[in-house]
Order: sequence, then C-alpha cells, then structure tokens
Amino acid sequence: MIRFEGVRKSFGGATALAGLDLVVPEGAFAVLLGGSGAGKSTALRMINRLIDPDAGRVLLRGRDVAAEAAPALRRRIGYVIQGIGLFPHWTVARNIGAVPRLLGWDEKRIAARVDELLTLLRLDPAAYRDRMPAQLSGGQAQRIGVARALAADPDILLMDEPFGALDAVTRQALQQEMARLHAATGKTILLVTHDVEEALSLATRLAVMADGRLLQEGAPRDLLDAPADPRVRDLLDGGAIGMRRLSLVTAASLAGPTGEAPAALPHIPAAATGRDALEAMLAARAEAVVLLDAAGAPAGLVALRDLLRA
Amino acid sequence: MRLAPLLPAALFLAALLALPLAGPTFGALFPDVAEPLYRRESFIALTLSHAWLVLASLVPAAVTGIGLGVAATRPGAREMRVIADALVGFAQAVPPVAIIAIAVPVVGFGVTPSLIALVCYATLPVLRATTGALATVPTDVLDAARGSGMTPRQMLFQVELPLAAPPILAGLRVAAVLAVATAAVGAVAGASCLGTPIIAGLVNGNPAWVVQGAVLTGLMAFAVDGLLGALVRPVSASSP
Repeated sequence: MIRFEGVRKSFGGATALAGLDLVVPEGAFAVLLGGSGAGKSTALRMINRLIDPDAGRVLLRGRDVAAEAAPALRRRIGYVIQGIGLFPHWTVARNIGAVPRLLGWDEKRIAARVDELLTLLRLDPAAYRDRMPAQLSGGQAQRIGVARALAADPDILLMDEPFGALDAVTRQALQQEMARLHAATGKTILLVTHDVEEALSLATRLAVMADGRLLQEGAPRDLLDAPADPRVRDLLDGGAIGMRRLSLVTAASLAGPTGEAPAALPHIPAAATGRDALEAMLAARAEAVVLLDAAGAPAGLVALRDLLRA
Repeated sequence: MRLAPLLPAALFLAALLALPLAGPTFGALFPDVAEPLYRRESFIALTLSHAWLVLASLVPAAVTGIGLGVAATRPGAREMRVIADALVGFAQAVPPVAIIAIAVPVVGFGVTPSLIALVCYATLPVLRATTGALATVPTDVLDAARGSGMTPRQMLFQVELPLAAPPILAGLRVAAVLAVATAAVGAVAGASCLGTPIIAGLVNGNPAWVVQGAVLTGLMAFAVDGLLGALVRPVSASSP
C-alpha cells in the first residue's frame, strides 16, 4: 500500500504538489491522470525517492520511504519511464539483469531470470538476449524496459508515461500486455498518464490530479458517473462519455439469453467490452451481436438497446 | 586500413635510423654549416627523453583532466565547475613558453619547468573532452540508472564513464599529440628532448640542426596520433 500524507513540493517558485493525500491499495492497478503540470510525475517519483518532499510524507506499507537508503529502496521498486533509458552499452540480458546484479544475485540465477522475463513479455530469449538496445524497435525496447523493472520481482511497479512515445498500435499492444501482467502477478502498479483512454482501459483505481492536488480518486466507473469536480468531468468527458462508459463494461454483463439468434448476426468473444459489441453491430449493420465463450459456443446475445444499461 | 595508422610510426622510425647517416646530405643542403649533423647526443637518446617527458606529463594531465571533469559534472558541484572553468581559461590564455618562463625562476632550469608547462597544457583537452562527453550521456539513461538503485559511484563507473569513454579517449589523443609537439619547447629550459637540436641550432646559427629536430618532432607527433587513433577506434566500435 502506498500512502501520500500532505505532501508538498515546489521547484524554485513553482508549486508541483500543494498538499497531496492519496492512498493506493495493495494489488491495485492505479492510474494517476492529469494534464501537464498537475504534479503526477512528481508524486510518482517521490515513491522511489527520486524526489524528496518539502513537507508531508510518503509511506510504503506503513513505513516512511525516507527511513531507508534511496538505492536500497529503489532496488525493491520497479521503475519504467517514457524515455525507456536502456543502457545503450549493455546487451538486453545485461539490461534486464541490472537490478539483480546490484543485489548480488549469482550469474546463473540472473540468466534464468532474464529468460523467464523475456518469455513473460513474449520475446524469444534466444533471439533477444544478446541484442544491443540500438537493434530494438521502440515497442521491443519498452518491453525490455518493463522486463528490467520486473527483474528483481518488486512488489510495486512505477510507470511514468511508459507508452507515451510509442505509436498507437504498439501502445495498445503494450497496454494489453500490462493488464495481463497485472492480472497474472498481482503486483501493485502505479501508472502516470495524461491519456484518458489509457487511464480508463488500465485502471482499477483512478486518481485525477490538477494543480498539485488530488481532485478525485475511486473506481473509474464511479468517476465517470459521479465526477466530484467540474475539472474531472471535463477531463473524463472529452465528448465521448457514453463510449467510455461502454468500454468499461464487459459485453457479457449486458447480455441476455441467446434464444433463437439469427445465424447472420456478428460474433464477438464474451470477454470483449460493450464498446466492442457496439462496434461489431455498427460494422455489420446488425441490431444485435452473439457472444462466444472460450470454446466458441454461443454464450449470450447483446442487442442494441442492451447497451443503454451500461 | 589496418596498416594505415602504423604508417606514421614506421616513417618516424625510418627517419630516426636514417638521420645519423644523412650527414653528407645535410652538408650538401647547408654548405655554409661546419657541422651539418647534430652529434652532441644520439637522436635515439633525445627521442627517449622526449617520450619520457610526454608520458610523465600525460599521466598527471589525464588524471587531473578526467578527475576535474568528473567532479565538475557531479550534481551540486557548482563551485567545482567554476574552478574548472577558470583553470581551462587560464591554461588556454597562457602559452607554454610563458609558463616555462614563469616556472624557471621558481623551480630552476631542467625538466621540472617543462613538465609543469606540459601538464598545464595537456590537461585542458582532457578536461574539455571529459565534461563534454559526460554531458552527452542521455538523461533518460541516468534517470533509469538512478531509479534502478545504482549508487552515484555505480552510475559513474558502470554507466557514465563507459558511455563517455570514446570522446574522452579522443581528448587524450589530442592531449598526447599536443604534448609531443609542445615538449620540444622544454629545450628552452634545458630539458633534453627533440627540441634540443632546434634550440642549439638557433643559438649556433645552424639551420641543419633546426631541421633535424623539427622533422623528428613532427614525425613523432604524427606517429603518436596514428598509434592512439588505432587504439581509440576499437574501443568506440565495441560500444554502439
């Protein structure tokens, strides 16, 4: 659990954080959302003490982060940044093994861990472990960046606009990858972004910040339905609040019984979102869509009017 | 391609061996000179003492230059940067002959004033290369290194210096070539080196000696440049 208590910070005359109180529950995929200058990166970088607060404190599992030497603290926390920052003079394997090496793991254990992480991030260890960072695409490099952050098996992963520099297709693939990693590992993830779509698609807890303060924190759906501040509504609305609501529910939660569905209706997987269902209906010019379970059997039917329940 | 950097060294060696046999040639070139070949010391002995002068100044210059460069680029080392800048400005403004002239009354004639001048002069390119090279290490890489839990020392030795090494080595190469050329000036203060025939020639009105000392000094500078260039290239190639 991460807890900010009355945290303030200013750089020169500019206030970055004006008294931040925030709790990130254990195991959450928490997203800090806000425009530039909201203070979200400053807040994130205080957790691993890349920035120290002027006032207030940051607690990690009840313990003030300032109580521990910064290097030791950072080795227990994964850190992923927009610029990726792979060490350009080291191979992929050496990059991933950076923190384990700092922790003094033996070479055999590091090599095994490197291969395990490459496999986890769907990169063939034999093909990638000896490459240099210059030989990677942006998406591959950020996968290595994530692998490096996970190498020493930290409980907490901090991600500062990690996909901001990637193209849309790569970004989406990596977002799905992170959702899968979060579900598979149960790690607490705190991700900073200014991208509302990204925030809504990843967050289990969403915190909206502006001007160095927390505006609202909660489940993404609650923020969409009951924004506590006009700035939260403006940020989340963006002229697409209906679609955003749809993208937060699974199609299965909107479905009725299959009945005698016409064979001509389009099919989508049951795990798809309400938004996917609408897209499939619009694409096929159909008034309903059939959900298929993992085995490919019909599992329900979503009609156009069912979407209004989202 | 492989042999190209060795060519100046081979040329220097050939000149060093051939020069003692070239007495008649210089006699023909400078018919007014009574003693056309410099024989007070062997050219090989002069070369060795010249090389010693260069090495003895280059090592402290490298240590000072890299050390000051590293210190000046540490976060929160404002005063250090000011001192380094002042040193750079001073070393740039004062020519080596002037340093020797200032040093001689203090430390006497001989090798010492030349060493002082050479160290001052060779430190500058190393210091410049070091601060410049360390400034080019990408901030994202530094951020990632810090965020991974590297201590400042680990960051310096595992990340910053390896990434900055090629330009620093290039600076050392410049310093070495400068030192070879400048060491000849040491003869003014009485240091034995390839500048000795030049000074002796100027004093005795013997242009043949001046040419012999100048040719060997120039070729030695080329040789050092070529050899160090061959050393620097593989290092930078191994860190893409």
